[in-house]
Amino acid sequence: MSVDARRDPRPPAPLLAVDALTTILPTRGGALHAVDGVSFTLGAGEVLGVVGESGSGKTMLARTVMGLAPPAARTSGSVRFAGRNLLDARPRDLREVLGPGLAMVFQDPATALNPVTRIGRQLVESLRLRRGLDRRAARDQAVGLLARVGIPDPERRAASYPHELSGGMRQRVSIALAVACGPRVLLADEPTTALDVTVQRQILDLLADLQRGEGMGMLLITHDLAVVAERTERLMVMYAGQIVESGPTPAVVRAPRHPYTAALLASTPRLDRPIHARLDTVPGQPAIPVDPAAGCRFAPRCPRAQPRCRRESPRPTTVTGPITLASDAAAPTRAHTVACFHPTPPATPDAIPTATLTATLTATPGATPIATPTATPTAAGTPGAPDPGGLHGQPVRVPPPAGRLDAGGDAP
Amino acid sequence: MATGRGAIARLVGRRLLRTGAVLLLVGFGVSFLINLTPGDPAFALLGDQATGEQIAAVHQQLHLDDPFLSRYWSWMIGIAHGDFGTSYLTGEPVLTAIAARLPVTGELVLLALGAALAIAVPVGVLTAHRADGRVDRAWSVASSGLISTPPFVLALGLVYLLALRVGGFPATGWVPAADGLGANLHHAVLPAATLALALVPTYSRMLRADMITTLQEDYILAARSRGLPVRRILFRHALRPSSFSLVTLTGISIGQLISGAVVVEVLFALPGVGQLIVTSVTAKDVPVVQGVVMFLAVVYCAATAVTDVAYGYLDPRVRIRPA
Ligand SMILES: Nc1ncnc2c1ncn2[C@@H]1O[C@H](COP(=O)(O)OP(=O)(O)O)[C@@H](O)[C@H]1O
Ligand code: SF4
Ligand SMILES: [Mg+2]
Repeated sequence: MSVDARRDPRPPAPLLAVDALTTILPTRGGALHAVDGVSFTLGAGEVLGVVGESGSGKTMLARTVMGLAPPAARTSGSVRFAGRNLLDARPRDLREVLGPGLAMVFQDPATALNPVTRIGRQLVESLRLRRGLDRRAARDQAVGLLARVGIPDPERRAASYPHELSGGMRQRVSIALAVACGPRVLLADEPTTALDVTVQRQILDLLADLQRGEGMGMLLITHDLAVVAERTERLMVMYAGQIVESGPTPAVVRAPRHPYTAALLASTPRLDRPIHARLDTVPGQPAIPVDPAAGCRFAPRCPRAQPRCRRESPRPTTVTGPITLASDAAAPTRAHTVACFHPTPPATPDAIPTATLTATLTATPGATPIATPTATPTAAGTPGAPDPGGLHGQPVRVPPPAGRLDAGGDAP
Repeated sequence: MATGRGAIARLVGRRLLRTGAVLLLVGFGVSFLINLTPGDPAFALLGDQATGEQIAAVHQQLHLDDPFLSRYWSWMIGIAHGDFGTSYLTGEPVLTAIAARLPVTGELVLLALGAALAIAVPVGVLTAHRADGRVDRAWSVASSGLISTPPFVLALGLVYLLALRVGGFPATGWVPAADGLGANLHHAVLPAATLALALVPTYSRMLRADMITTLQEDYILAARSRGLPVRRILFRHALRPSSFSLVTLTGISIGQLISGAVVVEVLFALPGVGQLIVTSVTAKDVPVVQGVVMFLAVVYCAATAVTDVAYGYLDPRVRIRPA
């Protein structure tokens, strides 16, 4: 791993360049555009956040980048990594890249590990097959990796089966498996959603630690705006398969321009008012339309929608202050861009009364009510329970000082 | 790995009790049923020309006129002492008769089981990997055909194909392994293939179904995301967690194999346990029928026990742990 890449404030060529990536899934109802024209770049040592509610296509985006879209999926666009388009690479060439090039951490550590194989063996397998280590070296390396991700007593733990570990420990093992071959880019797909709140921070700290230590590029996918606000330099907001807003994290969080981002921020609970307001999809109602017609995907829920929004699809546009510049899809990804005809004025989200906004969302004519302004029984009844579906999450906090991870904190 | 000694002992004890109950029931059932069938073993022994006196003597000697329950009871007592009785027909001890024929049936059953798994596992894995592909659809049709074909038709088909058309495989007869393994296997091919072919479709379909489910799992996706070769993912990651139903089915199909062996041994004129059953039922050689059925019940119970042990090997989550 190149140490210089970390020192260089602006790496010249991105490690990973995704352009107009589209993943269409055939379903009974029609063609589902799960990923729709997504473009971004990721440099070494960079952390890019992807935030969007459940079902917005985040996992499908990560899978498509990895070349692991379902067999029936139709993909287009390009995924450039190490000078090669992975999207039309031969399976053999793609496999060469997976592991030492790109790696992925999955959402649910309970299902991402093989239940019938000891965790040490799973690590040894990757190290032997993908890094060509001999049996002994692979074993030592596996124990070293377990220690590196904070598994106490790694020698003994290597003989454990996944079901003998706690959720947090399993996610640590998944992370060890992902970084075993020293990937240059790590796609972390909601790595903490399935975990207890107390463990979430430890796992995020571990990922940040590994990312900084190895100078990896990291795509941090989450439905929790608080997490990206705290942990990323840049972020993309995903809605119904599309990137609706992207830019430097502080700019987007402080002055969201897309009405959806604004609603997200407004529904993020504040410390002084711990009400779990939810903006969520109605069960059974896909966030992603099948056979989409022209028009803004957010229009049915948007308080700012105008007739034009239903006729034309807004394209990503660079924003500087209250005025938007000419449509510019190829804008540098580091710029603050928004795909909206009538962006929210650059005011702080606190200026928008939350109740008014969510009420407007609910009252949009012709739309199924999708915003629940009051506390939902499930959210209120189980405080602290991880909620994969909701958009609320924890309150936005300032980044904590980089602390040591507490390895034993989530031991069973 | 630490395993609870006490837990194991309790488990084994419970298992033995259950096996004992099963054997008691089977023993009673077979004795009762054979008691209901018409015919007098004395005639089978003495021939049609026997005088009334001779018949009466035989009846007394074999306790044929004792009440059913008393005969059942003394038979059971004998078994408890390891005495399965002697054949009415030959005077040979039942266990000796079984032991003489067991190698034939044992070899047939094991060969058939091995061949069926050797074919069904790769076929099941590959049809699941390319589900709804051309091979999968072709195999689906072929296996439906095989499933709906009775074993004796299958046997006749194979005889026609391999013994008559291709030639070289004997249609009847048996050569013991002691007289040359080559000749032995040569004679075993047709009957074993008949037995195996009946199992392959169910085995491969069962595995295919479970395998398709497993291949949807996150850990398969995760294994792919680490760049592992497809074949390794299929056979090392997906096969084991997909094989529970197949293992159950294999255990159960021991019964199917044994009844299949009866048909096949008669068709191919093989001196096995199946053949023994048929001759002894026809001759109403009661001790042999009872003994063979009891023996097969023991085999079946043992197969079930092996299946349970196999689960523990396949899935660490069902292994017994100290409480
Ligand atoms: N294997 C699949 N086949 C068909 N549709 C899928 C598949 N996986 C996900 N989808 C659909 O794609 C959309 C995006 O899903 P996903 O990427 O999992 O969203 P997220 O990760 O943001 O929750 C959803 O509408 C979901 O129903
Ligand atoms: S384009 Fe129109 S409907 Fe879409 S987010 Fe902007 S204002 Fe709302
Ligand atoms: Mg997801």
